[in-house]
Amino acid sequence: MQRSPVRSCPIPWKQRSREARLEERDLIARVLAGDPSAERAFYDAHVDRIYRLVYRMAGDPDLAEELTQEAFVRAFDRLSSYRGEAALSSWLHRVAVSVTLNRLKKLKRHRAHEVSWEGDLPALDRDGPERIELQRRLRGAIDRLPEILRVVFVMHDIEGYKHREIAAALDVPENTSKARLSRARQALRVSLGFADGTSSVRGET
Amino acid sequence: MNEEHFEELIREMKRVYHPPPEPPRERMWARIEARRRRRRRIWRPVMIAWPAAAVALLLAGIWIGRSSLFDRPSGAPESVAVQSVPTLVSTPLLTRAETLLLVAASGNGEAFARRAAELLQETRVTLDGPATDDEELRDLLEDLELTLIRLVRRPGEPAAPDGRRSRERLLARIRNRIPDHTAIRI
Repeated sequence: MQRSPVRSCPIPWKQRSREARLEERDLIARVLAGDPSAERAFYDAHVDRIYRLVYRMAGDPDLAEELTQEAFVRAFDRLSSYRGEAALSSWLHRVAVSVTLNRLKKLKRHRAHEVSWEGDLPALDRDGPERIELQRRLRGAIDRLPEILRVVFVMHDIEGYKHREIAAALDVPENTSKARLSRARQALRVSLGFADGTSSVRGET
Repeated sequence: MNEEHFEELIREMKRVYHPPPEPPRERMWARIEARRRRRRRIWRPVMIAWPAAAVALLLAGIWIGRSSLFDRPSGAPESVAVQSVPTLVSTPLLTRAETLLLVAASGNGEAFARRAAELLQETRVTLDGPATDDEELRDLLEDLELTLIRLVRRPGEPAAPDGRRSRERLLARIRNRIPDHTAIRI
């Protein structure tokens, strides 16, 4: 399968090169015209990053597949309403994050009285039992973060997105993304006993 | 425990926190294409039929209005309620869902699971259709989908009190959504 040169990169529209913007415009026009190869190119350009993010948030292979599919179906359906204020990848990330958070909110409600979703941790040989226990606690603490904080934490600290990318994908100011990351990390410190919850640490932005 | 230790733990989460496998690209693409094809099949007849139905309903409304203006029997309705496309499309499904949820408490065995699975399939098809344009209805159908998944997976299992309450809430929302409610009542 031929891969598109358009790569997924949720960077604000204005900061992207003219060439990249023209490529995206062309791709969008072809998708809207019903060109199957353009649809596939659009999918190929973004699916890996979207799937990774959704998987990190969902933590379940079936759910991650379903949410990724839902995000793309919705994106194709609504592509005609895309006005180009943000880069296409930012817009697509916004759709994917919205689909994911909505579904997870409902699932958490449904699963509140069921078993915990925590499974076995993938550990390396060098991880001793104490380390694994600490990782398990941190993972549980991340799972318990409010979703608006967890998504920023996962995007920034786990998946390596920049704050400007997160801000564009969540449609919030960059400072909001930084503030949410700081709150998320502080909550994790408190959960693990690294802090008492009254102080905040510099250097997280 | 210090800040450096904390940072190190956070870095470890990259390999520990829900590490994603290789994306099943082809399988997901096949399903996306299938859903879009199905959606087009559902939409086309609706897109063609709806304007015709709207015109017919309008003409019928004018005719009823005129004929009843001078000769309206006492107790006759004064207006005809016009339902939106999503409501028209989803009402039969919601009516059957209401019936299924009513018997869910005692429902077990293959027949119940089969009915729940059929309804789940139908719910997903409806979610792919014009219902998604109605946010409240989409929300309701997504909740129904989750409940049906649980019923299909564990048809005979008695629901925990929380699960029962959430099913009752869902039932109430479904009833509110069915126009001129005609489904089974208990």
